[in-house]
Amino acid sequence: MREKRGVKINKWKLTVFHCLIPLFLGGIMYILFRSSGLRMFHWFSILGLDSLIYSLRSIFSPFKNYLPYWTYCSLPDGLWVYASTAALLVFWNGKLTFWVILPFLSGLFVEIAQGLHFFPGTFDTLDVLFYFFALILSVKIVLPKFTKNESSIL
Amino acid sequence: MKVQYFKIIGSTLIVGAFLILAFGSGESKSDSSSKEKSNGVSKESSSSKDKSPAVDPTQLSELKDYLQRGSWTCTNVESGVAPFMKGATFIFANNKMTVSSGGTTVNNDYEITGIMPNVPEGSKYSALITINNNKDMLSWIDEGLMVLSWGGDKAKLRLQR
Repeated sequence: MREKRGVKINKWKLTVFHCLIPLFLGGIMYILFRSSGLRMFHWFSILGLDSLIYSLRSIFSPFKNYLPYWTYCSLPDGLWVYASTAALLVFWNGKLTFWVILPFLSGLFVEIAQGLHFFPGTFDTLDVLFYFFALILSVKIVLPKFTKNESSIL
Repeated sequence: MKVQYFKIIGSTLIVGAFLILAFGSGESKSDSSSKEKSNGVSKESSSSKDKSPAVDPTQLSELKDYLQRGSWTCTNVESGVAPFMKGATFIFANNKMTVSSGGTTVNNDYEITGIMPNVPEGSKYSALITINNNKDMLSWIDEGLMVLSWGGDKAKLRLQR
């Protein structure tokens, strides 16, 4: 527990709810629904996790047909930007530093580089929108925990 | 000052972790297809034909083991013109595919010429397979289910074991 400006802040809860859970959800969407041609699947293979991951994918693949495209293509990236921004906000005790926008800027940079064919992949406006909303949401949701006496962590 | 360094190092680590995630979510090969834009299996299957396949020996051995683990039965003709194939049994062994249907048994030579992971989306592999000089394709959907195109892609058969 940390006390700041008379507000008791539980950094662990903030970290779990606003960093680890979005990080996990984004990761699981990638693992279950995205193309196995992605670099992370090569890493999983090196770690010997491929049979576990392909079993999970075969179990969950029917659900993909019911999910809109953006839920597994853009939302995971947005969740990761949200989690990273929240982590930086927590780490800096709710101080708005330039570090806080770095996950958004990194994501934007990667998208632009993809658009210019410097990186493999496709520029996607929806991804950029998700990064932007993730940044705004993270600041809007996490920052007040440090400035107001909010009882709820969620 | 010490605290400031700690903050900078910590922030760099957080941003670094994000960049690792972003890097890991990128395509592993520059010539692989870009992000999928459709849920439709058919669209992805057709686009997969544009990819240049490669046969990784480990994947090939895994795929052969998968095919040879037992006999397969055609439970449905998904599309195309081969209704008589429903109920046929398929046995893969030593580069031979034995098809039995209605009291008739035919031995076909088969060769796997290309393997594409995750095509169609959600499956483990799809393989380009040459059966008696016909170029077909099979998709490993799960341990007990695959889809095999037949007769030079004239029909698509659902095979189960």
